[in-house]
Amino acid sequence: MKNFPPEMKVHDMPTLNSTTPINKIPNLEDQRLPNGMMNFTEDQQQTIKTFLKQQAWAKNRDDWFAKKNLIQLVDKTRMKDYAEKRDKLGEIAPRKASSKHLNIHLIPHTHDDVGWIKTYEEYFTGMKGQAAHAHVSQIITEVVLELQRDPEMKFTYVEMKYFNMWYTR
Amino acid sequence: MQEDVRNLIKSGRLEITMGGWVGSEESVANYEDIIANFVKGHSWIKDEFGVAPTVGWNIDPFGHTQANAALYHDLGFEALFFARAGNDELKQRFDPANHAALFLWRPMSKHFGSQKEILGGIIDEREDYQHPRGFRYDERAD
Repeated sequence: MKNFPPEMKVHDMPTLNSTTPINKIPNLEDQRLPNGMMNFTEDQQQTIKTFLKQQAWAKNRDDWFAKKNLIQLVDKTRMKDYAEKRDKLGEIAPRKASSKHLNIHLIPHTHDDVGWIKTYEEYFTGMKGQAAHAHVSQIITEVVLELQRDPEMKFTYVEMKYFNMWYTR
Repeated sequence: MQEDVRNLIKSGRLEITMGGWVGSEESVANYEDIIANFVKGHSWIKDEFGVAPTVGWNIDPFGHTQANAALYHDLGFEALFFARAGNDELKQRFDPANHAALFLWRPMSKHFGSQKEILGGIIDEREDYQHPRGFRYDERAD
């Protein structure tokens, strides 16, 4: 995790968290950056600007979900709630821009092919680095250490073959 | 360290998404193979950690059909996020006027109605399906 600015963590995005009122996010027409953005690299700033360009899309989307009472995507109860209420509510009402928030979901993850241009053993151990740099056991180890180091960190993992190899080694 | 991992999963800070033995393939795999892949992965997760994945995260494989969506619903997923949609579809779904990148998927709705609803989410892979530019933290990144 070498590229994290030392004073910056993923969950420390000051003006871009889930409670940021959308009208506090700078107009794209002026090129000022939100507070705290100077802590990001140039590439990261570009990505966030690109995302902010989709503001209209995000606003509509959030509005739509707010209307349907679907706030947390992975909340089972709310999913059922949403399914029940959706039909009653009918058509989507026009949005009100003033009171809405921009929700940004950061999903830390890794994508580890169980065999692609190396064998799965080579991916797991990091062998044949000239073919592909991936070293899965190191990724999982560092993720777990990072999760232990910082109680606010979260992570998701997909491929159980590798997770099983790492867990039972 | 096993104990630590069990606690991380229990508290939800390390979440197993998808949870197949390998990343699931959609377009050419036989449905029996898809199911076998999930049975192996999910059984191990349940035995070892006592949890069941509810969110599908399938960002690289291609060709998600409504049969896949129905199958994923039956496997216990409430949502499926994927990236490999066709370019025309991406263009329409990421058009600000359509706000359609996140949608409620009702596979084979003429037959099943709303029985097999699953939340679908598409990632805009025209930029990059793995990570937004600048947010890659892999020590060994090229």
